[in-house]
Amino acid sequence: MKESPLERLARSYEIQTLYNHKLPLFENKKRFSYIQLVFLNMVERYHQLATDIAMGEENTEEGMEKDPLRVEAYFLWKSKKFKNMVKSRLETNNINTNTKGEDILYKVKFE
Amino acid sequence: MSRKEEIKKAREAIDFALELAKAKKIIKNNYIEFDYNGNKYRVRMPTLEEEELIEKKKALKLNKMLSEVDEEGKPVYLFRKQWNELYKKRGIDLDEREARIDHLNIEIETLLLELAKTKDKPEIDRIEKEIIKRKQEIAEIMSYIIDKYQYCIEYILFFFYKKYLLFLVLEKLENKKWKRVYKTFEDMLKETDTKFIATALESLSYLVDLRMDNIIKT
Repeated sequence: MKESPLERLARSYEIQTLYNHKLPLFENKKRFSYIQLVFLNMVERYHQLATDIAMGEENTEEGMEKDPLRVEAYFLWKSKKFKNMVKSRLETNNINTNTKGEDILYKVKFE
Repeated sequence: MSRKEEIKKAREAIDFALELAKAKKIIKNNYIEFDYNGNKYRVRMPTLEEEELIEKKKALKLNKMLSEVDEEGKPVYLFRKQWNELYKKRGIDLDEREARIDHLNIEIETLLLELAKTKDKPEIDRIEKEIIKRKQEIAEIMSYIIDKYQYCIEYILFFFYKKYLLFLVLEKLENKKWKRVYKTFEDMLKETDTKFIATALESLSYLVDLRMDNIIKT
């Protein structure tokens, strides 16, 4: 799928360099517009993706950043993987995980 | 590559460069400037005071809509839920269509997870086509639902909010100073140049989230 100009800009060398060096991306420093917030989110995603590709993470490859659907798919897969990992760790540590997000019971042994 | 293809490719590259320049312009600051009929205009973010004023105006508008009744004493304006029930009585089930959207979204998620795991080009193209097909169907259903709810209180209130916000933040450059384009909201409503209002609204939609889907999902 073809990327939009905003996506192309977000992953550009110029914007990614500014972001990596924590330099301002916009002229205003507060009261960000809707599109600026959307853009910031994109910049962070491409930054994360570039790191993952460089590290050779599972399901990444050079060039995939040019396809927004593949980027969306990768981050969905990654977040699912992370959630499953947290869940299984809690289960192995014998912590009651409540999927509804209500109270979590911790077993504490007093000696 | 033939001469025609070369020209087409060059045109696409120019168009993309222009779009890129536009993207740079809209994210540069929290206001957006545009030219119209040789004049310079801008839309800016509303101040906190203006936001408070809009909320007050919205409350007044809602109050007015709720108190309006016809000759038989029936309310003129109905909420989304009431419209939904009326449509159901006429054999149009909008809940069913919303459920179809949910179902399509689940299918998209499954396809995306499939896409994430493949590096095979033909397979990537196949899955992407399936996703795009479903996204298009969602857009069509959304547009149908929005059309059906266009007279509900929530929609009218949202449309009023959009227009009032535009009235407050739309400015023209005059003698090196930014001044509000219309003295009153009623003056703006009398504007006959709909293209100008559409252009200004497009710029405003970059500053504030004005997506209609937000109403449907509530």
